Amino acid sequence: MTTRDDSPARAVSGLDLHAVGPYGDTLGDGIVQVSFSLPVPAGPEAREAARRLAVQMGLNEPQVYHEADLGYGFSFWILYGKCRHHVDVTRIVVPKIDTAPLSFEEINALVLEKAGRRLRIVGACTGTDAHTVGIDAILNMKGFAGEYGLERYPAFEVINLGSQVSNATLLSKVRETGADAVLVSQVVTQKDVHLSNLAEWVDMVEADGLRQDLLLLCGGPRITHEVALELGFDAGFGAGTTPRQVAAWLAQKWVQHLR
Amino acid sequence: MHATLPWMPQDVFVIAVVGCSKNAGKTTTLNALLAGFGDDVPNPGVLSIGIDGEEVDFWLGVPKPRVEVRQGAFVATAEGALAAGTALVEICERTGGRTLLGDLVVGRVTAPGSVLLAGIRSKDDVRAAIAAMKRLGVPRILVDGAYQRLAAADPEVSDGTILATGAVLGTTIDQVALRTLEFLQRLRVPRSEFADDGALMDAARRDNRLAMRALPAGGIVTADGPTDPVAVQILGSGDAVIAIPGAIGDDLVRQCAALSAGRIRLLARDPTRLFLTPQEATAFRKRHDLRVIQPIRILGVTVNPFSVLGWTLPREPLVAAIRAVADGLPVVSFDVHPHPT
Ligand code: B12
Repeated sequence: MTTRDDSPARAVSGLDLHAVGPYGDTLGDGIVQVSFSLPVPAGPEAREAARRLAVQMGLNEPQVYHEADLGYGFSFWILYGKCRHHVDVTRIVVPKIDTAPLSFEEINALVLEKAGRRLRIVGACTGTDAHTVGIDAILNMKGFAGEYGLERYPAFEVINLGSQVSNATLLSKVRETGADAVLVSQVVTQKDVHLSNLAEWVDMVEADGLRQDLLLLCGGPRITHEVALELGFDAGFGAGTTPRQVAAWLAQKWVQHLR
Repeated sequence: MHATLPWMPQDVFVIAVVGCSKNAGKTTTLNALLAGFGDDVPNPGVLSIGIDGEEVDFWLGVPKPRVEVRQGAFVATAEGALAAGTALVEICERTGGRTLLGDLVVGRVTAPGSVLLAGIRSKDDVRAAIAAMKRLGVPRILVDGAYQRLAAADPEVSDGTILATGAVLGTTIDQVALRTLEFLQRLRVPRSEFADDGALMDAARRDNRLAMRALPAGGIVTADGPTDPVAVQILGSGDAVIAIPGAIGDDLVRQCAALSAGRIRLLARDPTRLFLTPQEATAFRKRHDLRVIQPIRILGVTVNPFSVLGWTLPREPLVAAIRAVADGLPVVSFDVHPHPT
């Protein structure tokens, strides 16, 4: 989602992109730092336990750099070690949000000129999820990270349904309002319930025959664009998303959709 | 004749593979089906709603089986995903769909290997890919559904469905069997045997509204929903039959039941339109009837004793438990290693 040029072509000279591992202070040293707590008091046995765990995590020559007894039978550990593993960066294909970053004015102009009307957007935090801060950050007038939320854009008409909205209720609302885009937020999860809930939402939209009329977005700290696509959404937005990124995506995709 | 599924009927052209959950063994099932086609199906087609054939599960980070295709097979995927597999694929048709990984294409495998199936997200994409494969003379098509998504099982998309279930659904055999049973019950909603019900559904689909009739002899009326005054009047006066053209959730059946003075026969187009929790479906059925116009033809159940989450259940007792809930359906478990080598 970043707009920086971070393509592998810019990578460090002398690097083998087929076998990339962590960098400590020399290329290829594989040095990483891990930290964790153990439910045993600090001491020589706990230190050896921490080291052995690090070996099983794939680290060679693990060394304890910090240990602290946390009381109540717990201890805290920071270790350094050499990661045994590499990845072949050349074989990685990650779907990314591909729309151009536009300004507030450009987004409004694009929608109002090309679509000739405001886009109607319905947003909700669905299932049992009550974490509304994320979707509010994107939708509310005051916005997030120094950017206005979608409600502030003349190009968008926003209906924010709030928290714990069932997929069935969301679907009735979408039908009732004639929405153009639906923004679903999922923050909390247990046993991957956020994934089942999102999958059910897409199936419901398909079952109702509305899929081709709607842009479907989801977001939340556990969402990536790739997860969203696999679930059948048009886009997914993860942690740190700003409202303008979402607005720019909506404007450009809607204009494409009209064609 | 199919090597692994000798009971595979000859009249199913498009076969959907749906999972009771993510990681229930859909890809393993797909590979076994692809490998099992005999000389009569030298060039099967395969596509996936979602992503299939990636090296690792992007969520859990564990290795996944890859989708393996033979020479002559056909695949539908995004053009950019072709580079991620080891199979060589010659592009035959562009279906018109565009994805982040390039155009959706249908291609013929010219050298066997693995493929990444990606880019198909909606039923319309699936329909376009199937149509292209039909034009190319593909005799059998497998459609893999992502997660527990049911869209591929829609009888207007596929002719038959294979359900994949497995240890990922629970840590005990009983848990897995119960959740598989719930899923099967969801897919096996019986067909309405009343001849008039088809016409009622046609009316509902034509107007894209709820259509209903008072029983025994009322005329067809359409309404915005069960709380629409015309609907309230009919429901309040006795027995009725209601056809819903789209998705059916808990709140809709609850409303219908609350307003009804008699018994309701509620009609869905097919089981993929039903999104009822097992509790709500059971409560509704105590007094009323739930039917579909077009049932799903379930071809069989595949059972994966390995859970990606780290546990394994004993294969034979697990298969026996699934057989016990599968009510006569063929049940198989493919003997493959859980992780690719
Ligand atoms: C505030 C908070 C709460 C508040 C929520 C109040 C409210 N009205 O939202 C309260 C106290 C109610 C709460 C309750 C619970 N919480 Co809480 N909560 C948090 C906390 C501290 C902050 C979340 C937050 O607001 N982040 C800030 C926003 C701006 O970030 P964001 O959500 O990621 O959203 C951004 C992006 O993800 C994206 N985005 C998000 N949604 C969408 C949607 C679309 C369409 C788009 C485009 C983008 C987008 O854009 C946003 C802006 O960048 C987090 C911990 C943390 N620091 O993250 C825990 C956390 C999320 N909570 C957690 C838990 C466990 C719970 C409870 C279950 C606790 C309990 N045992 O009762 C309950 C669950 C309640 C429920 N039914 O959902 C866990 C979740 C762990 C997990 N496994 O998923 C966390 C991570 C804490 C932890 N480390 O354990 N919580």
